[in-house]
Amino acid sequence: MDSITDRIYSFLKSIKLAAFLLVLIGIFAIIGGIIPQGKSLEFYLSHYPKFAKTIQGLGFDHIFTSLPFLALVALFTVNLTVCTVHRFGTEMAKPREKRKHGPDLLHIGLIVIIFGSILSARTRTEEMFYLAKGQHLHLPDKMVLQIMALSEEKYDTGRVRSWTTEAILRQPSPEPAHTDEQFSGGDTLGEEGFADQKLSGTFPAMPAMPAAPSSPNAAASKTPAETETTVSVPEGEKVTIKVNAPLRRKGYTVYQFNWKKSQVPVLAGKDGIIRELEPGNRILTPEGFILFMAFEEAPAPQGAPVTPKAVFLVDSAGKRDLVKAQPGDSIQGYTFQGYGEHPISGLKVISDRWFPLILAGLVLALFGTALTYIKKLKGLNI
Amino acid sequence: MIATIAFALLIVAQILQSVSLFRTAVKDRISPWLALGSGILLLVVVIQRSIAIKFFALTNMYESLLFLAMLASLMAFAITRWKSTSESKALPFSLNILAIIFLALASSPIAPSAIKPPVPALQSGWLILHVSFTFIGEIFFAVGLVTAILQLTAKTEDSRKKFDRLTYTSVAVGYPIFTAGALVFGAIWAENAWGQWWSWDPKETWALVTWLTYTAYLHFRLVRKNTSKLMPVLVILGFAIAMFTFFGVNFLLSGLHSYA
Repeated sequence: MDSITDRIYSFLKSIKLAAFLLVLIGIFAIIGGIIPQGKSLEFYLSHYPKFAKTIQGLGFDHIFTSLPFLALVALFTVNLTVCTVHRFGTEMAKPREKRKHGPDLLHIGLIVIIFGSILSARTRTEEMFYLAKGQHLHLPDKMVLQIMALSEEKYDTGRVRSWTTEAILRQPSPEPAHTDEQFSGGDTLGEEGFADQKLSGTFPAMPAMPAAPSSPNAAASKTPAETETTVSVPEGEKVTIKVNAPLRRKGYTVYQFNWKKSQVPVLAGKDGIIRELEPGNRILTPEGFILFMAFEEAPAPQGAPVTPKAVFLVDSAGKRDLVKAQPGDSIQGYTFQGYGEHPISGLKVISDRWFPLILAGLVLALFGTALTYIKKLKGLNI
Repeated sequence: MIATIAFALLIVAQILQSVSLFRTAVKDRISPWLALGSGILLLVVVIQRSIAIKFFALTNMYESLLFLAMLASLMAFAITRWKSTSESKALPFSLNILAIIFLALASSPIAPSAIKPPVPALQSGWLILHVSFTFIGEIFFAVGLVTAILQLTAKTEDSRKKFDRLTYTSVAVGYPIFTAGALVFGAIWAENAWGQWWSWDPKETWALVTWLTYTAYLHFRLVRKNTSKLMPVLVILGFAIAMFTFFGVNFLLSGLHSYA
């Protein structure tokens, strides 16, 4: 008579159990493949009014993270592991030329994928950033990604061909960066500005308030040419990020994930030079500066079209005021001409140190599958 | 125009095969060559479109259907050269029908034929590996579908065994190719493009269901006798799910693969 341990071992290594679990996992996958996952109750009520509460009650709205599914995968992993160990032992007992290790490799690959996925799910981090030309991003390894150029290429038909973010990967500046970082008619907030700010929505979020310039006179002494048009090139490594060509660094990867156009206020100076300001950028004036902060969403009475007001922080000899302006208004000698469009690059920074393990599992599984069926097909002599 | 000629060749081949199928005295030596001609013409169309878009023409429903029809036509020819299947008229006949269906769908409104160059997300070498391997695997599954139906309808034990073996063989060839294309290359591409190798997106989930169905078939076959009707049923179900993954998910469920 078999002991209980023997019976449990036989049960766990059985192919019948594997086939049964595969069918059950398949049924769960079908449910999750039909019912959109991770939506709100309102979504299910509007799409499946009769079943919305059942869907949520049974956890079908997050089926792949539900306890029954995870328990099933756990049992499948145990089954796969026991089966693999047992099979490997049996194969090793055979003469070398009769051994078939394809299924073992496939099974080990699947086990590695499952464990890799668990580790990845527990440690993976993902953050989305929206950056305009001249803005920068602090990366996990303390390096700074300074956006130098954003380009959108289109085919003749108007269809998008590519989105490219060109940047410089540099060491963080020890000094506040507004002294040497200028673009598009204004300097940036430097290291304290957009760095590490998670942004979302149509427009970049309002940045932190900047520190006052150390010397208004120094700011006033800048000529328009110094605050104009191009980003000065900092020292560092030139990098290009495109869709399907992410920037891979040790410990994290930066993906070109999204692309937007943001509205920016266009200001014309008395000198005739046009300046477009991203949120957080400022123009230095003889009296102080004009800093564009954000757009104010104006109320739209009875569905009237919304003309957003631009909110500026205006510094005049150290006295600061918030100014809400519309096209046509004058601000410290500048005329608010209207709105321009700037490209905004949506970059996703992902740190997933266990993906190489998953990749190894995928390769093992692929190699094992091929080996298994090449040998089997040879044996069939068809 | 070239695709239309390919379609016409397949129709002629189908007529010849139908005559040969129902009048056993008539030997059909021409239809395999018509299928081959059709496959080559469709390959020319794929190459032409690839040159036009400066990328491998596998980036939308129309191009995918052309590619599938090309594979089905070439398989309809190849199967007549394969010693284990050379006697079966049903196999090239069925694959021919499949190629005709794919081409008919390609000319329908569900698959606009306008030449559109690929959007940034599709410009990856992994796309070519992912889609082409998946489709090649599915064409072997299509052979398995036909032999599974023949297995279910076989009248003698010998022919049931013969078709069981053919079903197993076609699944055993298609399974690793499908695994590589749909799951492994797809996962690597997804990581490269989106930073996430698996997202439980409907297309991914249904591709997994297809894989699980064939995996279940291969495991059941290890433990059940080859006379069980469950196994051919699983193969038929597997192909139905594979086609749902291709067509159904595109039209019924939205997700990351919405452009596919």
